[in-house]
Amino acid sequence: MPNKKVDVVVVGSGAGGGIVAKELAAAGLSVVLFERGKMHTSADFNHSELDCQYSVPPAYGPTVYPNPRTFRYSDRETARLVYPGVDETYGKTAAAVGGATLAYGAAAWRFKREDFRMKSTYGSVPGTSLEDWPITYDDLEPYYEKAEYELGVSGLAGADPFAEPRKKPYPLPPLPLNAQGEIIRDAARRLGWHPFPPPFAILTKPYKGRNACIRCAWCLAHACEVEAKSGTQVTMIPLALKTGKCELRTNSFVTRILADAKGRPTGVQYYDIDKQGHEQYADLIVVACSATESARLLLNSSNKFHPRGLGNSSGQVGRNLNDHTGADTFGLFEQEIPHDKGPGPSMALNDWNHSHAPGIPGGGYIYNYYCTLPIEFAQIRPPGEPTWGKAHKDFQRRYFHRYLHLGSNCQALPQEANRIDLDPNVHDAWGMPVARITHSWAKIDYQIADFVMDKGEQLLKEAGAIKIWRGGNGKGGVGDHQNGSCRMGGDPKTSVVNRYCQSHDVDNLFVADGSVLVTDGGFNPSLTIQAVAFSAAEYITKQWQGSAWRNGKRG
Amino acid sequence: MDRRRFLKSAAGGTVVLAYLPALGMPSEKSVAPACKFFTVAQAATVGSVVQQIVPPDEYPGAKDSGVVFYIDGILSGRFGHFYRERYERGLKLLDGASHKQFVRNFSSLEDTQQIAILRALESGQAGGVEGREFFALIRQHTMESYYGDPEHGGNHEGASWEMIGFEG
Repeated sequence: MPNKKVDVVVVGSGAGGGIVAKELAAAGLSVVLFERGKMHTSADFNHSELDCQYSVPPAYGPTVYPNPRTFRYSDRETARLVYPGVDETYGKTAAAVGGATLAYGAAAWRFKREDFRMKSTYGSVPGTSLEDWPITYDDLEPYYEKAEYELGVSGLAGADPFAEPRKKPYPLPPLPLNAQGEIIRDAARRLGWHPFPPPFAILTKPYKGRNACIRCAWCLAHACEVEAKSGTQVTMIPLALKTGKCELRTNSFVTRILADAKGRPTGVQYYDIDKQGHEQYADLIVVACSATESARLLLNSSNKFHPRGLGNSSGQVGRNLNDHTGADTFGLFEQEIPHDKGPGPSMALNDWNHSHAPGIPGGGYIYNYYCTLPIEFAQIRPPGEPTWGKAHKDFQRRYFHRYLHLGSNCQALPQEANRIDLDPNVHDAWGMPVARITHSWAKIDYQIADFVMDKGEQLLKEAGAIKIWRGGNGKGGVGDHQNGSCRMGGDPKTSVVNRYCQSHDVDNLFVADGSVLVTDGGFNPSLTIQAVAFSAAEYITKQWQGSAWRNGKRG
Repeated sequence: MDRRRFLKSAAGGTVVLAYLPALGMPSEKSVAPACKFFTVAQAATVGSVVQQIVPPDEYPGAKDSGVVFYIDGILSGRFGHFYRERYERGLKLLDGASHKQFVRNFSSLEDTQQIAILRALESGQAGGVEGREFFALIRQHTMESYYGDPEHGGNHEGASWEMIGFEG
């Protein structure tokens, strides 16, 4: 039986899609929310580091069907087949209800003012496609607040002297200080730096019917069995379903956006778990399936009027694919530092994020990292230290409780050559060309990361570490923070969507995920994606006038 | 060689991703006791390799702790096709290097000889890039198994967690 036409189809139930679905359903629009993965429940979650999002296969997908991609560092190479979990360069985000927010680390940062004004702040950087956003921090501030209160974010307002102004405090107090955080706080203060408890979408008290964090060590890459992490699968999506206006259609993979005789979107084609093809017609299409898959879906939806892909008259769909570099540092200590009280991060500092040091556009915050499990520690060794044998085993037992890991998500600068396009040779199980990822870091990205790692090493030294070393970045490849493939902007010639995430080319097409980020900020992206999604949903709701959207250009 | 093929099905012109899982599985009679994939000889070699990667002292070595069965489970499991051929070729490489240098199979070498061969494999001196990548793979599998959750079978009775003081 054919599906009944609805007002809105949302493709992807992650950070952005979950919010748009709930906001539109609450406003009375009929919504079908598509998710290619399944709904996981607490019963699926175990404290197993071999059955998490870092495992082979990733515990939360993509696994439903075979779904390869191809990867290359530059367009001078032939892209090679890559698979989720098996190949790091696959660039996976979880394929499940909640998307990446199902098993994320739940850091819930607001970007800084400069993050929206990178080109104005730092000028053009050769070899990059640095741009300003069409919106400012002040434009987004009310939506950040909405995201923090709707989802449940813990933090301490006013504790970070470099944070932008906010109208309301966090709805929940910050996570408690742990042993690592205490060492970092004291050392940072001695250096004259400004440590503070970082914000997390992790409940520190019961909130909206959910439980507080039990402080276990299985946080990052694990789904939370007490639902203390505020992923959209336990926050927005249940509310969307409660309205009675939203249907969640899981195990359903959208392959193409359908169009009428004039090339205007009319719905989507999708396949269910039995590989049966179906259509779902709707007036509005909201694409929110990650920077990789959103770009791929638009490119796979070309038609006579949109030969380069839907919404791609600019040629920018898929371009400027970006992600953070890591700027991690490690230290060994004489004294024991217990690190099994989760989630781990309890102190951060922003002194080296937009510090305006010469030649360093942006930077990143520094924080004490998530609890390290024994299998992770087995892979962490200073350069030159044996990675196996007796010495490795001795190191494992000597230092498991005597080390400290500082993390940083460091701003990388976008490049046009970093992109998603369609692989000409490889198709997926549904017969659609797979995403071909081309990505590598620029010299400036390593320089920014080095700058932040210098500061991390300085901090560890002050904290009394007896041995200090730094992590590194490979040649390229994106991950959970992937962004930028459908950038927002004021100029239809150089951007894909407008400030409300609406396609410049096609009025009833929106993109509402990390794809629209113009630059990636020195912070985890989820709260910014969600603030932008709230803003887009509000715009759609205000513009919505029953059937009027079906006929004329709106907005 | 990649075992995955993209086959074009006649019906509907869709393209189907097909696995050929039968390839590379040994015949049943040669499989080592309690294993599903490794032959007796392969299991012995893998046991010797993992026991060098995590050697025994007052706490068990990786072989004693069940790591061979953990790896066998990966190779015979749903995603084994990503790794089987790499193991088969890697183990052959290892025995080849052992014969060349010490005229015996890897599993019958002295500890110091085994360590010398594994160092050569790790550095690429024996087996080039393929040898180096195989060593990285078996080392990774050994570490995740030996230091992982005991329920996965490579950390018998949680000995490694007790050793480092991790309460789980």
